[in-house]
Amino acid sequence: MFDFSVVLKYSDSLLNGLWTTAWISILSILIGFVLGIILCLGRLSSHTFIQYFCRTYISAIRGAPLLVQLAIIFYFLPYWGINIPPIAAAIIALSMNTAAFQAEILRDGFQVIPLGQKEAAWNYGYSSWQSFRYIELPQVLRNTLPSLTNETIDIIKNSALISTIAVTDLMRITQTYSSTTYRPIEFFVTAGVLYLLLTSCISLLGRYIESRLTTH
Amino acid sequence: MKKRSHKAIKLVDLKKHYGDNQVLKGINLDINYGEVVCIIGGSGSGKSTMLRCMNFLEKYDGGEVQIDGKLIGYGSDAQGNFQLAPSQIVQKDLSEVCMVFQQFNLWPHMSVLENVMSPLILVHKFSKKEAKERALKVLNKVDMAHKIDAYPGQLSGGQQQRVAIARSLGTEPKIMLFDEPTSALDPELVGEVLKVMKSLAQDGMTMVIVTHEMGFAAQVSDKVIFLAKGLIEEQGDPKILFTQPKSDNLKAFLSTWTERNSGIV
Repeated sequence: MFDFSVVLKYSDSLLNGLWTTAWISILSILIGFVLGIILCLGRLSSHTFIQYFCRTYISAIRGAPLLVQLAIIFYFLPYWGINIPPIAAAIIALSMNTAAFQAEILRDGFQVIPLGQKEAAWNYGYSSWQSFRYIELPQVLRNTLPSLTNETIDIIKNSALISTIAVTDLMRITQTYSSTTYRPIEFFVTAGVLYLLLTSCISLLGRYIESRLTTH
Repeated sequence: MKKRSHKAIKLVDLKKHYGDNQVLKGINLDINYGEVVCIIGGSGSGKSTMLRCMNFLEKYDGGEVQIDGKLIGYGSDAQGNFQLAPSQIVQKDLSEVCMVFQQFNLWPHMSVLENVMSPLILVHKFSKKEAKERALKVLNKVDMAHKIDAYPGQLSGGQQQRVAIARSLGTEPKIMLFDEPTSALDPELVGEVLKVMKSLAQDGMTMVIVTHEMGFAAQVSDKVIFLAKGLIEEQGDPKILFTQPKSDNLKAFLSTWTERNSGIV
């Protein structure tokens, strides 16, 4: 009834798709992390305008479907005369999306650090940058690592949506071949397994880093 | 010892309020170099606030805090307007003042050794080797040299507080402020911290200590300050102040304290 040999025939394309999904997602997570830290600091800033700007951005991103955000980036940029390949649009949309989520994760991480630790640092003459870099950030990273790992897994799964803007990721390849071969079940099951494989790797990596960091 | 021309700490009509609540109502106080001063008083008397104003962890809003003759926290701009000084300048003026906190405030992601070395490397620009030497020296002084690789979370409260004291000692402060250093400790751990503080007092460190340990205050301090409702109500030699209190507030405060302790024996 099921014939997975047809999947094997297209295994190269599927693995290419998996690779595209993996690097786009991970690149977006990394860009989103940098943007997320900036957004988070803006959100915690005492400057009213910056704070409200970041707050609005985060609410807007979190409150609308990623599919909509993707479409807006993909269709609007050319409308303003900016022509970029679909892959770039996908990376921009995913980064902007995950930045908002990571900002909120990091904000929790910053807020649980007792004020006294920063007072001690200030008292010893640490600049705000040194206090951020050596006192707060290491603790925030350690404490938020499980949530950041989850966010990475979410982005990998959500990246299936970039198939709608003609990026040949794992999802797009799967859809293409399942319709040309009339074997949707085999292809979608395979795609599911491949996504699971990728997310499991991330999950294991996250746990490995966690165990390395919590030596105490 | 080098002769100092200024008072270590001078408070002039120091005022601080939170909203409608006037916490400090005009404190005048001189502390000389080498002096050990204990501040006592009930909760809400403003003693911690006063201490925190001394190293500008609280911004005071009236009067002056002077450390070694320098006004802390405020300055005049080019137009001669009185205003908040930039953080770096305040930190520089306070470079010889260290605070030991009730909650220790060690950095939990660093080992004991790293906690002590970090300010030396980042702020005082020591090399790693110099910082380690200094750290071992001060950790030895507080009897914590056997725990250099432990993390704060693995230590008892008393041990954490001793490491926190070592972290301050590493930077060779001239003035040390203690904000209820034993209040967060289990009773059996109080002694080891007080012992370290006593040895500092004997070494001639200038110390200002907010404390509930009356016995310690009586033994170690040159002067005891009793604070009530944001004002210094009584001050003086501990032997006289504890045995012949003048004001009703201090009498009441001391009798609650004796009552609390009398039940034991």
